[in-house]
Amino acid sequence: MGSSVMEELRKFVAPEFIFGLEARRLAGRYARKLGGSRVLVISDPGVAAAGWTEDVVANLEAEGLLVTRFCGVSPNPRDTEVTTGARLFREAACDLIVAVGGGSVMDCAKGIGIVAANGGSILDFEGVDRVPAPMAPLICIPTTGGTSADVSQFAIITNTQERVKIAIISKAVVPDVALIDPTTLLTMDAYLTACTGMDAMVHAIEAYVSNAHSPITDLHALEAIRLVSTHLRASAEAPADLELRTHIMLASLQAGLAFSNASLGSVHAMAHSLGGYMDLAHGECNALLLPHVMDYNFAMTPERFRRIGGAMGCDLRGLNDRESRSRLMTHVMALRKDCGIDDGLSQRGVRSSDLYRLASKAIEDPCNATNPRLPSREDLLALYSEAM
Amino acid sequence: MTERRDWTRMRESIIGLGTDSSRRTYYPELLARVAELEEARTSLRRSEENLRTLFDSLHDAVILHDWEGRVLEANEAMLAMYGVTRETFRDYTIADYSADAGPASPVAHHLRALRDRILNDEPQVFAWRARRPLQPGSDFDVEVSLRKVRWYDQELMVSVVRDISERKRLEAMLNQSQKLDSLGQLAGGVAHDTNNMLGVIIGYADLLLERTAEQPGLRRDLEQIRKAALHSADLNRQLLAFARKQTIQPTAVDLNTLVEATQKLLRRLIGEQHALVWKPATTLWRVWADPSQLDQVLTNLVVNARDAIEPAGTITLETANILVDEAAAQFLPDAEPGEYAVLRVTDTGHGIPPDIQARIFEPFFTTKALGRGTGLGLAMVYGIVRQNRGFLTVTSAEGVGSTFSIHLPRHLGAECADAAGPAAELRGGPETILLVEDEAALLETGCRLLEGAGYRVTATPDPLEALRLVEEGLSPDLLATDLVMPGLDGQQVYQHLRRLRPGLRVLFLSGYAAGTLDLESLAASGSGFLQKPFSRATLLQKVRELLDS
Ligand SMILES: [Fe+2]
Repeated sequence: MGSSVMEELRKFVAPEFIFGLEARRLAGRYARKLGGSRVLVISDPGVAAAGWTEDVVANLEAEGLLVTRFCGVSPNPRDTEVTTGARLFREAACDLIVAVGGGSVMDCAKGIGIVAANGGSILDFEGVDRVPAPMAPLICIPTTGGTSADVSQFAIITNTQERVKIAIISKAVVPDVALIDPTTLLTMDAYLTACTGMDAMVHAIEAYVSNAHSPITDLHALEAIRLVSTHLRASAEAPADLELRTHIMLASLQAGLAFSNASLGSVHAMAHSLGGYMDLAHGECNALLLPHVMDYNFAMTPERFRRIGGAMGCDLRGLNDRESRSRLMTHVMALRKDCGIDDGLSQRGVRSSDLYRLASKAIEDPCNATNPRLPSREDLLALYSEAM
Repeated sequence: MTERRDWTRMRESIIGLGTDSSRRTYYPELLARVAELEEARTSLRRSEENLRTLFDSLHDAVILHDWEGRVLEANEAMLAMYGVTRETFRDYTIADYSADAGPASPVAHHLRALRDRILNDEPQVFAWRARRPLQPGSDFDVEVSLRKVRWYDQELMVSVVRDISERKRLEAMLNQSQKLDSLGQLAGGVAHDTNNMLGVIIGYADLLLERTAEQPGLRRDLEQIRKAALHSADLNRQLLAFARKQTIQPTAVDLNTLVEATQKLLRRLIGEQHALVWKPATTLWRVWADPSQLDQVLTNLVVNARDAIEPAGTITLETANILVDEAAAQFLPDAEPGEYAVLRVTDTGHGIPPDIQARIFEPFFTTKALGRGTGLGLAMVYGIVRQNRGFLTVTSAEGVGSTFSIHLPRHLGAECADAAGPAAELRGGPETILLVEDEAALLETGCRLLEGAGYRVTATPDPLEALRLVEEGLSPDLLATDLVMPGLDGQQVYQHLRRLRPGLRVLFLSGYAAGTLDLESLAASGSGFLQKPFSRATLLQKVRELLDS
């Protein structure tokens, strides 16, 4: 047992979730059970094109629910989209939200719920515990493995004016039910699979080394790291393999349970800043930044990083801390590269002149609060430079 | 970095240990909203109840109806006004609630015209004749304001209906009063002037009769002149009575006694074929009135009743005490609130048609066959009753009969001793009389009459001249003066002279009292009054009476 629970209380929050093949088909039943009658279904064009949106709508309508669709969510959900969705929710007098999609869709759905219940702009709720009124019941049906918004208390929305992502952290945005159906992952392409998989990996690692970790989150974090390390390469190569997909989905879930309660670290703080500025995929940002932040954090909690190495199948036996750190970095970079995420930030259009701005934004991110080593802006600037 | 954030506190919040970090349920939110809705509903219901109360408290009827005249909603005042119930008021249309203005202009036609006007968005206010669908013959006058409204998303009309039959009735009542007043002024003015001339005619006729004792042929002609003049004088008296200009000498009167005293005479007037029933009140308030006037009233009403009965019937005389309060006074023409003794004369005759009821008190308005009545009877009754501060009412139903009720105010003061002694014999005397009269012909007549009786008469048409005469040493025993004169009136002349000659007696002469004479004080001070025109006999009798008192 770690020392953490001897010093502090620990809480573990998770929504009711159903994991397994065809779990999405319970959407109608749950919507009714939660007292819904007019449902706002939120999705994005990609998910709709894959057929998942209408699949869920049909299920809801079969239960006699009235459905209003909002499929205007972009890859990095914007405050303006939240405003539009909330207006739609009110105009259609909806009383329940079903999100069908990846992290963007689920984050946007959370934003819509907050604004519909509290009014104002979504930007008013930035920060921790800033949502006064609870929102209408929310059912999440994730269609990507990795983001874990379906079980988390996080919602990340882009402030289009400032070109920056804001983080909303509140128990109010933990969904009421998550229907986690690995079947939906079958439509993901290799790169998206890689990105979301790496996101789940980062969730698990940051949760495990978080200064707010607990024995329960540790369990889920390590298991998630093991599952991603074991199956991500194969899954990216064979997108149609349902069994591999199920492993990744389970990894994503466990990583989600871990980070939702232990929170994250500076990888996410920097990724939020980067993603908001460059409109890059979240998982991709994480994958590009992860090795450098691990390197930066290693000294604070070497024992935990060794166990991470163990879970990844990286043999650190007989190595001292400095050697272990180097070996782990190499291992992570290899995994990233194997999954197709190569090169650095400069290849993705980030210029040196952008870094100061990125670091200034990243230092404001609440995720830094649970990073094992409290960074300064200069630290973050250096880390961005390394990731170029 | 200028500001170091509190990472520790943020960390605590993130891991869920902050005070606001517990997950909240939607349930209290829902409850709050339900409570809010409930409150809104309650307040809406209350507001609706309040508006309904206001709606039903309106004195005017409010009717919501569609373009076809179908009634959708109405307030309590409407139900009361139209004599329908909450269950039945929708059974009738606006056409059913309206009276035809005449065969040439049916309701439907009017409604169509109104609708066209309303469509132009102008609120309309107009007079209308309303009908109670369940009470035929009880149509009434209303004022309607009509406007277009939205009612449950439907375009309707709302009619606000005010019953103005009361207003119209009061207007008619007032009109009639004013009409009788102006007729009275006219009649009074004419009668006053005529009286003076009649005085001259009668006076000279009397003088000539004195001198023609030995000439029967001439006497007969003179008698005719005198008779005609007296008849005219009598008509004049009636006109003055109607004009409330008769000089009255009121005393406390018990109407029961008055009726009983004249019963014999009345029975004779009525004739054998009709019955006279007398129902006196056991206790009856006394009234303050001129008994001879009341005799005229009673006689006139009984004759009027007799003429209404064909071929045989009953006339009932009845007395009662009545209290007229503020509300009742509103409905009775000329009435003031107060205590009244009432004399009712009821007949079982043909009744008076409603359209002429209002006019029966006008002078020379008569329904009797030509030559049977003067048309002044009821006019005189009206004037007398009004002059004695009373009022009268008439109820009549055709074929059933009529009742005339004379209301006279209760008298609470002391009884005034009636000083009328036995008729003094006609004799003159040697006393000096100062006669003041601005009408030259009448002045000369009076002078001749008094001198003929042996008095020493100094006559002048000028009141100021009269003062001067006395100041210069004239010492009359009696002042005989006209009341109404230019310059000084009779009373002023008397007051001036009395200061010079304290024992001076006075006889006032006038066509009418015109409110200038305090009759009660007159009676007490031993002075006298003579109504013009007067005969030689009444003049001499009155003069002697005063000189002897
Ligand atoms: Fe993430």
